[in-house]
Amino acid sequence: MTDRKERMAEEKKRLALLVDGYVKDLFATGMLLQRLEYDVYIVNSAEDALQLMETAMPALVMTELSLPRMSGLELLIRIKQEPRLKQVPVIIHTSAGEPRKEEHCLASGCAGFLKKPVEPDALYRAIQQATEATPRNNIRVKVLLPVMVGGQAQSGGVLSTEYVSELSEDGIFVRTLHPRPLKAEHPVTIMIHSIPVKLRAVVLRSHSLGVGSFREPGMGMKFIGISHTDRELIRNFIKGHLMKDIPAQG
Amino acid sequence: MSDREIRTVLLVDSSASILLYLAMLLQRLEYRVATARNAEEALRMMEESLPMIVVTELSLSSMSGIAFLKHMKDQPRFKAIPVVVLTSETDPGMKDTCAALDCAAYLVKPVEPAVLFRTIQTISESIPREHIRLATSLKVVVGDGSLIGGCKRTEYATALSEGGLYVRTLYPQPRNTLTPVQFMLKGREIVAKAIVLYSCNLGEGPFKEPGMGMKFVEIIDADRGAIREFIKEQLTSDLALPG
Repeated sequence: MTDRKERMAEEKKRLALLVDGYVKDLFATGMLLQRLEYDVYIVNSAEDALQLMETAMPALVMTELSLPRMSGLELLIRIKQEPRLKQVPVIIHTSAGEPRKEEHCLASGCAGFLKKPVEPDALYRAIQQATEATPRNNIRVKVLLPVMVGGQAQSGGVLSTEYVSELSEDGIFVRTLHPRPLKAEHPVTIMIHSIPVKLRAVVLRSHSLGVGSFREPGMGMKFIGISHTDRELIRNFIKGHLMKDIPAQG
Repeated sequence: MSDREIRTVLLVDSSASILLYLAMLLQRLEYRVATARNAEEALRMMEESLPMIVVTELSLSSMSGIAFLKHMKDQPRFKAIPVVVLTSETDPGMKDTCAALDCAAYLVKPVEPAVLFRTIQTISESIPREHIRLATSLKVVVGDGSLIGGCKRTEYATALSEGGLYVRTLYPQPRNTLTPVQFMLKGREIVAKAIVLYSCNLGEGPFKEPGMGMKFVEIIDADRGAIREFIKEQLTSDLALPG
């Protein structure tokens, strides 16, 4: 009810146009893009993609190179030549892997060239770089992991578990009714696959339960001096989380 | 998960932890949620935009829940908004008072998620859902190798309710196919027969998880109960309820 703008921003997902003829790849990439919070629209040919773009402007086009009739490369060239469309970033995602093709696509203005099967973090980075003015490096995922902030239990002496509801390699969002002061540093212990991961983090932003539109109360914390091993562990967890139950691409 | 319109629920309660519990729960049930700590705040918010439904406690600071309910029913602008009372007040007279003031339902805390869901659905939807649908990811074996059941294969159930499940697959079976399904819930093996109500293929257009919506037609009560418990746990295990 208040925060209307913010709510709009949260709810309006961006549209990714996925151009591919292989059902299994569409399935896997579609699921992954959906998990990265995109609305996904599927077409099987470059012609259909161009026709769709007459009425809807996607935030991103992701295309296979080998398509029936018009190829993905030709689609890329057409988009880049059309003044109305040329701002739309095009990422090539293909099983055709000759280096010459890649050079050709890059020279024609593609925003990224990915070979199937793509790692989720590579896909995420390519999308961020293609679509954001200040691209994020690390995927943020919605999770539910028990966490203990600070060495001591919260007020009352009763140990109340708080939860990490968002996780990236850089930091966490901790859902809590008692956000700690900004800039305060705390030891945090996150349970990942039942393993306690001990880190240090600083509170960057906090949000209390207010009046109006409900948003999860809590605090955003950034890791300080995270070790290589812990970073690796978190990265693998995020990858597993995004890819769980998504079949491998062909 | 669904194509249903997202409804806004306005929650009114003086306890922050109860608001958090209910707001998280309703958000997980795919509602949009707004919160207010007292009746005055709620009324101010409703000047700006109207919720689909109001869920309120009766014991509130300054204006009471009863006065709030009465005020809403007196105002032509608010009158049509259904009000669900969710309270720790156990005085039976209160329930009658609220009923006389035309409250849509009267629930006593603590409320079972399934009951709250059904109450809100019944009030706000023309075709209310009976059961909570949980978004999940469970390995499920469908088929039994017979001609009708189709070959045995492992897929993922991505939605589960007491009434059935959605099996994500690139090879959905046609409508009305009767198939055995088998999956594990917390170490318990659930075996049931389910019928395909609808199937969805991956084609051109907006991406939607391909698969089939199935309804249980043969399942023992104990298994249905285990599903209910599992859903409740998944929805609330991380939410501490005060008191």
